[in-house]
Amino acid sequence: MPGGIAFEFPQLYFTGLWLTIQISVLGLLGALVLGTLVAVLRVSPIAPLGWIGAAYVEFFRNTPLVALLFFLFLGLPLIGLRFSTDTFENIFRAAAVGMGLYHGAYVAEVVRGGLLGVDRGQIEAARSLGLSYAQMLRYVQLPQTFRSVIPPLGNIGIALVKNTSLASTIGVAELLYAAEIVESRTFRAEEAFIAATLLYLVLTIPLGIAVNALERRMLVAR
Amino acid sequence: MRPDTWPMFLNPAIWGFLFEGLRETIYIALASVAVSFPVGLLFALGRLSRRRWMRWPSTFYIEGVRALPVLLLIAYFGIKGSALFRPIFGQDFELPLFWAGVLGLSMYTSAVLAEIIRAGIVSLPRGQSEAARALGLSHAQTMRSVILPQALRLMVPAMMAQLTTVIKDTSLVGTIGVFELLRQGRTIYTQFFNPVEVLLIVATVYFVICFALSRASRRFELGYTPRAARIKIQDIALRDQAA
Amino acid sequence: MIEFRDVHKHFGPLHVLRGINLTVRERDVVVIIGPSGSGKSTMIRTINKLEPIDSGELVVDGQRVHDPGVDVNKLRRDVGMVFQSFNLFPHLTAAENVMLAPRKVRGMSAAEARKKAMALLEKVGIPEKADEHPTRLSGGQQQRVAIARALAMDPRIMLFDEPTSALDAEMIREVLDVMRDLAREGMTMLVITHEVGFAREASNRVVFMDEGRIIEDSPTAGFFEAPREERARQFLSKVISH
Ligand SMILES: Nc1ncnc2c1ncn2[C@@H]1O[C@H](COP(=O)(O)OP(=O)(O)O)[C@@H](O)[C@H]1O
Ligand SMILES: [Mg+2]
Repeated sequence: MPGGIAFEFPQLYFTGLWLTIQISVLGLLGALVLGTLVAVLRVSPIAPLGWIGAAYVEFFRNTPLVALLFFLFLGLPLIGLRFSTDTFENIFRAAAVGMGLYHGAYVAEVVRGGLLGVDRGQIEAARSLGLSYAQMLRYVQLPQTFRSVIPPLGNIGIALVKNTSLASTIGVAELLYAAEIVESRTFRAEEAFIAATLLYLVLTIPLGIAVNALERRMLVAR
Repeated sequence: MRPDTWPMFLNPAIWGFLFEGLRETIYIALASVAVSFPVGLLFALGRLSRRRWMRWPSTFYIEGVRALPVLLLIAYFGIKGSALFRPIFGQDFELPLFWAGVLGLSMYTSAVLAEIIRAGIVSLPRGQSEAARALGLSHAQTMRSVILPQALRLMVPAMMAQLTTVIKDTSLVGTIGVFELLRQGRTIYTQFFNPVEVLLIVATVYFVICFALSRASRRFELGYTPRAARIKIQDIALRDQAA
Repeated sequence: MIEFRDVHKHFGPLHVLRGINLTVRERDVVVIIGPSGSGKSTMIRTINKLEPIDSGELVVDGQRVHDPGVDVNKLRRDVGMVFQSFNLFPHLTAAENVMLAPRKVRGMSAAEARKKAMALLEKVGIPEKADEHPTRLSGGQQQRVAIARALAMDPRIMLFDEPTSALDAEMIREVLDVMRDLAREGMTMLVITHEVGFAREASNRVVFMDEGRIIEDSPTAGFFEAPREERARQFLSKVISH
């Protein structure tokens, strides 16, 4: 059976899968929060805030994620910042933070597009009712972006799940790491990698189907 | 950040070392694009074919590969690349790690380019192929002379944007032992214990190249891109460029 | 030259051609009119097999179009087509648009194809635009290039699908003039149009379609004054405002 090797090394593969899921979920939450904040900065009427937002997006979109991961797990401790005194916990948190920072830039672009897509009349109506800028954002503009940003955010989610594999480069024993260890013990490269592949697909394919279905629904609705 | 680590960057040898890495990075990126463009074009046409024996395997390849982490492909070819080619090139064949990396990167990029090209083709008005067919051009002639020149031109910005992703992804090839830019940087900081400084410099180099490229890609936008193509490009930009 | 015998065509559940019978002789200029959605476009698109037919028989220039063995590309060389939306190739200049088929299909040399393209652009009255890209041409000029492009394969039949309905009034004239000249030279033509003036002057037959059927097929002389069929009369009273 393809992937059967996962049951010969359940410890490696299934803790790997569990770590992949944890990093994905934490990273995605971080990316959503950060990305939304950065998007709000980018559309804010105060120019310097807009620049900060733009700098964030451009920086993380144009540098490799691995470099960021190395920086977080090796560089930060040297300037006195450590996520945890426990080595394992430190790299795990560095990976999750890296995922959040990096994908936050992509989330910001999507949310910004959504915010700009809201009809100006809505914003003017809210302001003329006496809502403050922040209240308007919170109660009028942001809620109206949800529908249009969900499919693209799903795509970012898929990218993020796949990108958790980069955590293996700093020593997180996630799925790809498990496959590499099993390969080095058994020399059964195909089996080892196919097992990891299938486990990744278990995560990405349902996400992809959900995104496509949502996208189609939105195309019809518009 | 230790103040005594910055003066070492006055040493031109350090920059020479980083420059070698940059050169390798650029070679990997160029080789990957050169391999993945024709392959991607074939799979795009395959997926659009009316013949099921072409359409199904092409769709399977494109969707399957896009669902995988690039690093998994690179790691696999790093380990098994030589063995895969031994039946063809003989028992002593060793696939250089450079090419193992290019293979993994190209496999992924070809699937993405296939989707970009396909989006360009299907977004052209149907009247274009009808007019060509009405003139008596065959399906292949219509593709070659009418559809592809337009679709590829339409997709130049999206393909350039994908090139920035390829450049970022070359950093993954360092993990199988190719001495590209990031890997050279890691060699430096393991010697001098200054990862903060080195990583900042390395990140800046990537940033300058990728930022310039993505800016340039916007200048190639040729007027009107159909809505369906724009949605597809965004889809690809988020799913396949965030790597 | 063209013969439809009980031709039927469906789009899924939609029965768009419901038993078409029509004979077009050489040098006929047939104007086809009828309400939108009545199947006019579909009918003429079956002639060069842009739309396949479901049943019945369709013979074009001696070839049974629906035979599995028929060489579609050869058939299409003999049938030129002009579309409502021009469909010029935007990446090619006007002359290159005209040269494409002679070069690729007939294997003509570049010089020879260019000469032919220039002669045709002369004929449609815009030789000076030969090296412009279509986006730089007006609608009327684009449509005239499209006619030249269709003529470049020396077709024996020309099909026109509402060639002027995407054009402003002043450009309609220049396109219709070119078509009128073609008719005068004896080209066999099928023209979907609601330009009554053109129909009166240039055509010898008018076919009225409704709901996938040919309701009336009359000589042009007299049709516009006194159509036989009630539905055609009603339709005309709506189309001809004056
Ligand atoms: N490719 C197609 N797929 C499905 N339905 C079509 C297609 N082309 C035309 N139709 C339908 O067939 C009918 C006849 O269309 P058409 O021949 O274009 O009419 P006309 O040219 O007289 O306006 C219309 O109801 C139209 O919606
Ligand atoms: Mg029509």
